[in-house]
Amino acid sequence: MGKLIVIESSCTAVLPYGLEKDTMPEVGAALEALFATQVEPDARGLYLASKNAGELSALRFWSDSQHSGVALANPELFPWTLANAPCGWLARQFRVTGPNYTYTGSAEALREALEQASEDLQSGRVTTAWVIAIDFSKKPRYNTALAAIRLGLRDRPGNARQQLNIVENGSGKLSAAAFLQQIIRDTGAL
Amino acid sequence: MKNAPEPIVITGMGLLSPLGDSVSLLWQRLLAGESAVCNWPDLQEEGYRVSKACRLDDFTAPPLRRGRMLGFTAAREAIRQAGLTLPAETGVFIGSTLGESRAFEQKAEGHRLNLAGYTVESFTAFLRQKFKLSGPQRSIATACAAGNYAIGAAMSALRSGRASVALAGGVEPFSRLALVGFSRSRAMATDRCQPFDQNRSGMLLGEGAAIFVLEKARDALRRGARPLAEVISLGLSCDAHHPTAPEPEGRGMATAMRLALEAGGIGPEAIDWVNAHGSGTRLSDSAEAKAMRHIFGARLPAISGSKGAIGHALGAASALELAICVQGLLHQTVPPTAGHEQADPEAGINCTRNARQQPIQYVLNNAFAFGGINSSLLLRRWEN
Repeated sequence: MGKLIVIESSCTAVLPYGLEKDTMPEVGAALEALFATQVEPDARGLYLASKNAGELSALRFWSDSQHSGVALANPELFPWTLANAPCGWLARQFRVTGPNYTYTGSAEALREALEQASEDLQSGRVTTAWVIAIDFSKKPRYNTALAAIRLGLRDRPGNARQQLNIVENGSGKLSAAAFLQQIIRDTGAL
Repeated sequence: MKNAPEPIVITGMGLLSPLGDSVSLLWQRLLAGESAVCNWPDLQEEGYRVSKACRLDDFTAPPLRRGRMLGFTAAREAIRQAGLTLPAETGVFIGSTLGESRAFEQKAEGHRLNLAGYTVESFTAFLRQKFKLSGPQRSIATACAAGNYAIGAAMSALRSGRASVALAGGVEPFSRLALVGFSRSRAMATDRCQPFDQNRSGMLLGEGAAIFVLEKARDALRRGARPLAEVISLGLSCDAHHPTAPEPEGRGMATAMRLALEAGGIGPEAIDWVNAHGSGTRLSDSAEAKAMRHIFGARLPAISGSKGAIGHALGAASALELAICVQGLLHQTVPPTAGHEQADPEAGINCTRNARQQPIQYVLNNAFAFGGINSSLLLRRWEN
């Protein structure tokens, strides 16, 4: 019988509005404890789901370039226009040199991240997987939503909080972060 | 003893590239040493620093839906070639960078748009809708490595039984946003892209889409289909080093290649050809060269790169180059490397300058991306 995938630890947070480059240090601070493990960097995997990673920076970068003129645009923001930039930032911050995935979309993107993380754990590609959902706030009056879990393999749940259990009901309309928050609540992993 | 994984094969491919809107045309022009690089007066007039690029000049689609139409057109051809009526549970696995770049640009210019309908997910959703598919899906935004990622995800879904057939590949509409970003980041050549050449000065932007039909080999054979190539394994790693620059020694790139080889159960000596990422930038080519020397030592396989011919199509690049790899396996030919004239002595990589006929059993398709993402896809010639 195969091993069980368990949620070893979890984290949820709401963070103030900001461009990806300004928000990621706050994301990193919120996730510090979740990444406190001794796992080899190559055996760590990151699986990020987001409805809009890269969007705010892309809009700002293009808007700025229209003001400055495209030949004089400030390139500083450009790397952040790529949807995978937040996951790359997390890899650098927490020394994760294994697989690095970014999925865009809502609940479906989170499902894709969870499935890939589960596959990589079961295949032995990684021994610890972090599934992270970030829905960046689009406007100053709203918050950025963050939810994250650390997954590992166990013969039985034991001390780990709960076996990963993706509840299908009603998840279709949720954002990635809301769906992961629901999973964390449902499994009692908070 | 570990069971050999279920063989997964490609049975159909369709693409739109700056060197042609079919696999055969792209292959033919690639072998002839052609390059699609040309100067675009519209980009010049709009004031871009770099107005040379590889674009699809005869593909028309609504500007905000160019990406999804590229993907759909490529997928339709792939399905036709596979000779298959897709079952409803077919999985769809698409890689790209941001989605419909033009929509993001217009929104920033003040147009009222809900960008949720223009992300990478919109490409996947469109294919599922047009072909009436409800199987598993992945919308993968891993920048310039996204095509390889999508093929790897399809391979996994087929092996695990989550899908019986997969449509997978990469899509990238031409992006002015990327044009500005890369040129202002000094990653762009002004004239041409020269992979691993001592005079290389950067990349040039491309666009396009390449979509593949993948199946289990036994399913394909049972229905009388002709497998074009076998997809063996995907190696992935992350440099965790710098937002845009690769780790200079190419350690992460080497890890991706090593993992692909290990998962495929072969050693580096079995590789006959590497289709290099070869972006033509000083740093990336230098790191990739070190990675290849680390993996293969002094006995390098044939190495080619196609970005001098078709530009860098970002999220579609590795998918377009996968089609080139499949053609190479079918024709037992390594294509020439447009733009590679004088090997950089420091990099020490002599790319193919002419089409080279040789036995090819295994090929690696490398693709790397900003964020330190590294991928290497291992393919094998299909033999019954």
